[in-house]
Amino acid sequence: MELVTLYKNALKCIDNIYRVSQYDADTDMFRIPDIINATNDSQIQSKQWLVDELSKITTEQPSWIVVAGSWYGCLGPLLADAYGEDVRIDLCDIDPHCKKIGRDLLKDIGGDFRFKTADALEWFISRLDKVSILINTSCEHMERDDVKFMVQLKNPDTIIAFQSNDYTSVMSHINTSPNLEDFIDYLNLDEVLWSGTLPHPHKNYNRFMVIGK
Amino acid sequence: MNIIFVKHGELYSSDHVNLLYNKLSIYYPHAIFWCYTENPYNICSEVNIIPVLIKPTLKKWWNKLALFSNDMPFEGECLFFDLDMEIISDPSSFITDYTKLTIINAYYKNELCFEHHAYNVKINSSIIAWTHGGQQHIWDKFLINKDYYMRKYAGIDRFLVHENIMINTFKDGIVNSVANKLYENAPVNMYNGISYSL
Repeated sequence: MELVTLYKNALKCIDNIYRVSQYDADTDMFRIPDIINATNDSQIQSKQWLVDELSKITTEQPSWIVVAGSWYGCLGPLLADAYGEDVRIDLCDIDPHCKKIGRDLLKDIGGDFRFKTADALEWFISRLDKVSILINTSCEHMERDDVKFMVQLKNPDTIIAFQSNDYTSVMSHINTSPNLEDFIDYLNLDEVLWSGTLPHPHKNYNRFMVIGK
Repeated sequence: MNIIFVKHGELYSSDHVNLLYNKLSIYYPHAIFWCYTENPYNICSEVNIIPVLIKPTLKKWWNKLALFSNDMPFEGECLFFDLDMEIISDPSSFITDYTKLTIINAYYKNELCFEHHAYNVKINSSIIAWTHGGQQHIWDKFLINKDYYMRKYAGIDRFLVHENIMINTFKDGIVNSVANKLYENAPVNMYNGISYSL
């Protein structure tokens, strides 16, 4: 049911952008396809995949989840659905517009969502001891060294759930992995609790996921 | 005076760099030549190599924006050429002002109409002139939200125009676009992505 609210909010958001554009020539119309992409079937499917596998592994109720590179926060409602509305979920993205749009998308959806405009690595470093679960579904957008640094710095008990892909033709995908093994290898976790590959339903690329400590 | 090339990836070879050096050094005998690249193999020794920045990792033409960083080793006037340019004669009479960021006017698009949200543009950054130290703001702006800009814009030309960077254009006639020939006497032929045999 929360997904229905998410989609309705996305439509309202897009409608608002269009209406404003009629009077303000500087309106960023690209946010419209960007919001559509963030809520499309493949994005939601890959995030549901993460939550489904992660929730099977986590035996303790997390108190604090950080999502690095959270975009418009669409993972938030799925996490709240799995872990309850009391768990704190920090949705961290360096794009300053993600906070406003994210709050609009998650309006009236139950959960303790906290949008942060920050470099995800810097945000996480200042909260190392408190984070129960660190999630990153945007590893392919981040410097490999930064992703590795997050893993190296984290508290040993913090569970990580990271995703990457082999979709090299996208300009902003600066850190793809050719296969799951490469992703597992560079993360260099002490313990891999789960790993897998999800082929894209329509395009010729794969998404990889690793959950571990 | 600095003349700069960017060679990133496999599309162009050291031969393209060396040929441009050989042609341009005739008209700019006192210039310092540079190539920003991750693979300097076989680039002639007269061209100084600038290793590609470790961070941020960028693909293709987005690397050109790094040239505006104050961390680049240039001093004074800077002149950039894409590698798919053929130097026919001396271009210097068209390239006289380095005080402002100056780029080619894409004359072949002059008559076209674009909707604003198509983010298309009527410039072409195959030749750029500027003074080192004066365009750091471009690099700074890009770095703040680079992932979003690379999603939104197909290339750096669209980024420069639609993010309201102050731009001058060279007088028409500096280049002849091989796909849209108009200036047959231009000092530079521009292949603009068309297959270009050396």
